[in-house]
Amino acid sequence: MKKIVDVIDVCKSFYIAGEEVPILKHIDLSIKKGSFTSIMGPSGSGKSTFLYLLGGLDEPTSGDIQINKKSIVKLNDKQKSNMRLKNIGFVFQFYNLVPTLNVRDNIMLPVLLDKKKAKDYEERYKELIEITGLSKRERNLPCELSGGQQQRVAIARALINDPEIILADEPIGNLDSITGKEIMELFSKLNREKGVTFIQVTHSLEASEYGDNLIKLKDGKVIK
Amino acid sequence: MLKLPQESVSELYVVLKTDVDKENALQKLSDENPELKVDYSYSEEEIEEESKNLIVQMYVLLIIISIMSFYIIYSSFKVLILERMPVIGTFRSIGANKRQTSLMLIFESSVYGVLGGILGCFTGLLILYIVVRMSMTGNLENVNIELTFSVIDIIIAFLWAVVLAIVSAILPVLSANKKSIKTIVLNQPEIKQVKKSSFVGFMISLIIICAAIGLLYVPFKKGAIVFDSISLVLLIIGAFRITSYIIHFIASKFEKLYSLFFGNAGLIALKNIKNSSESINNVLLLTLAVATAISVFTVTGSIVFEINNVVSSSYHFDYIIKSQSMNDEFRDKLVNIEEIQDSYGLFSQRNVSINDSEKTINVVEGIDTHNYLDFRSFDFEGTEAEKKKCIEKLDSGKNIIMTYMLMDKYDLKENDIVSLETNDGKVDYTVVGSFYSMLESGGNYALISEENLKEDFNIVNYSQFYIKSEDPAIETKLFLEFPNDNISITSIDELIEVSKKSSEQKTNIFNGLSCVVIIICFFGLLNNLIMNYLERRKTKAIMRSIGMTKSKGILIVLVEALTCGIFGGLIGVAEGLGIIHISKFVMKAINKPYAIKINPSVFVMFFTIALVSSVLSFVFLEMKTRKMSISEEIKGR
Ligand SMILES: Nc1ncnc2c1ncn2[C@@H]1O[C@H](COP(=O)(O)OP(=O)(O)OP(=O)(O)O)[C@@H](O)[C@H]1O
Ligand SMILES: [Mg+2]
Repeated sequence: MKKIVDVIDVCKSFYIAGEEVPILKHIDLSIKKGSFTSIMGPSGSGKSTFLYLLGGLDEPTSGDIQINKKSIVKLNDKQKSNMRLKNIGFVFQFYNLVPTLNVRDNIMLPVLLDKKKAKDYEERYKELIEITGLSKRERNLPCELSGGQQQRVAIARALINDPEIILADEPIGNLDSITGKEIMELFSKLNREKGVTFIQVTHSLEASEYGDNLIKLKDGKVIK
Repeated sequence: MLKLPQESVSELYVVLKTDVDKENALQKLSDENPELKVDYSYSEEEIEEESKNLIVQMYVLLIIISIMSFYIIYSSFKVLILERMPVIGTFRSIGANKRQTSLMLIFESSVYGVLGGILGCFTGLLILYIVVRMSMTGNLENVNIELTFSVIDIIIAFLWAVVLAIVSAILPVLSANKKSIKTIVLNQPEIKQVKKSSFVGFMISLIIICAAIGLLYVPFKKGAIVFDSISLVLLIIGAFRITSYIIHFIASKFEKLYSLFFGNAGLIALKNIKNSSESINNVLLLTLAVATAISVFTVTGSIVFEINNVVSSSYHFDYIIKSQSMNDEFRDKLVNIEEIQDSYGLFSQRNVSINDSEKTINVVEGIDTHNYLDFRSFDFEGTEAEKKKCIEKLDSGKNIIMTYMLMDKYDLKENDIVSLETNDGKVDYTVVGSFYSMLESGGNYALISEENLKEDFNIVNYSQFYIKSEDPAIETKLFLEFPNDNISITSIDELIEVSKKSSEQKTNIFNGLSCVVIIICFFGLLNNLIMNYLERRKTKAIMRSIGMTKSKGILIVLVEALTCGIFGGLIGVAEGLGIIHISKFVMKAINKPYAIKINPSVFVMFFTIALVSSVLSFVFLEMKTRKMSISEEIKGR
């Protein structure tokens, strides 16, 4: 299978109290298109940091990250934004919905940001609403939803633009086991049927079993 | 017996010792100096009358500022309580009941109230000092004004601050109480159905506004001022409520227009505004500030305009001569002076009591109905011919014409009989007409015929001469002509200058106060901004994480700012017009029916200030979040 993500000798350090602290140390790996990858590791090992680097939300201190063989490190803000908008869907641990937009507008936000008409995405929207079981909640604001419902909105939002890659940071970390399972089933289905590449950070072994590829991080390094 | 100075003078001002009874002293001085006319230089009533419109305006401002502070404290407290929720939840879960946690919060708000009150009293005194300094321009420059305020005043102001803080804190506390322990402790958002667009709420707001306007036309004369104040409060509340509906309406109906102008960024901005309490708060604050500033500027501007104009519009001559000894001989000499084109001798009597009560008329003028109108004028409801006719009625019997202000004040109608207290007892006069004038502290004077005045009040000497002359040297000439009469000469230009100066002080005070209102509004906007800063930051990071470019982010925020500024400004202008309308009634209620002059540039100015401050507050926000790291915001660091 084709590779979609290439991580080449990536280091990332943060400055904490004026001192450079290395968090990710010389990471080298690649991820296949259409795969379902789980990243696991102890708290503080740099999983979220790694995921945000993949999505271009942060920059590596050294090394290169390529998506479809194109380096994203050297992109300017506009190009990076465009990449996030078109090629990547994010699902965060704490949902991160826009509090002033209702369910429909949150899901349609990437469409609007892409200078497209919401009308043209009506079908896709209907489909996602159906899959995520949100059809009765379209006019609600995020604060009027339960945690599981909010996460489903975030997932629908991540999928509306048909991205190639979904990056999910502990997508079910805040949900009860039944809702968590439902969402993992959904991911798995999308992965199988639509060929979307999934990369998730998770603490749960159960969740990782949905994937076909496991990356373990410890002390900023990949261990096999 | 008063010992007059060597060089005799025309007027002598007497300062009484502070503990002397004024009435008695006046009587005594009159009795002991039969050749002199002794009178108050300025009666307390006159001063009261003069300061009435000032005081009423102050109250209007006080009401508005209180509502504004209430609103700012209320919205801050809502956020503060959200932050306290976990603590409250903990307390509740270990057994504290609702009353105890509420008391805790209310106690907290009273502590803020007390602190704010103390701080406020000091700042207030400071501002007062500055305002007084500012207003002491011109002829008052060297006067040492003592600021008199009692401890009681300060205590009242202080208590007011505490009450305001507590009352505005109670509402959010009560709503916090409705939440169950579980939702508080688990910090679970309550799941509720979205409200249907509330037509009922809109109608209620509309009814409140209608009630506010309706109250103005309640035909009770006596309580008018109370009704007008209630009307003002209702109008502000109604405007407050209806603003959020209007914003909601605009956010729903203007989508097409916005996407036409700003593309999808316009759409997103509108959607943001619709559901963000912060935007609505900003609009409300702007609305109130614009309304207040516009109405205060317009009303004071109009009053000042009328005061400035009263001299030039009522006096049609160039000089006033005053002296104690102006008799017919004086007049004959005067009319023979070549440089004088025309002259008019006025007979008048000050402080005339009517209807054997405390009621008095400041000045009763005895006029020569043939040429009075050549020298003096006033506004009259009717044509020039009718005005002339009305004046002529004075010659046919014991008739009197009064200003609207006096008629209103003493509850008189045309054809009513008033009895004037004269030197020979009471004489009944019939009111045959009325007019509008601002002379004599807002129109406290009446006209009767020269014959009647002379006869009933035993007056022989003229009190003033009005002369028309174009000769710039006429003053010197007159002093030479009448060396022994102790005349004083005032030119109309001087009078105009004086009235301008005195009104300038009032304008300064009120403009200073509207600046205070605008500053409070700024603090409100800033407060709003700080309260919502973290959330805004987060929202921006979220939107960036799903692919919003920086420039699109700026565009969205700018559209939001413009929308809030424009609609806040527009609604503010409308509300300002409403307050001005109420002010007309308030001034009528205090017998000062000034004509209000709407000055479009004032409206444009404050509209622009609203727009600019809205944009500025968003620019500030943009600057603060320019360099933020998306990943850190998302991680919640
Ligand atoms: N912006 C930052 N500045 C300083 N240190 C940071 C920053 N972001 C992350 N770190 C540090 O980097 C390390 C890794 O953080 P990261 O959030 O990637 O961990 P994680 O593996 O996702 O942990 P968890 O499982 O708890 O979410 C932590 O020690 C954290 O303190
Ligand atoms: Mg993490």
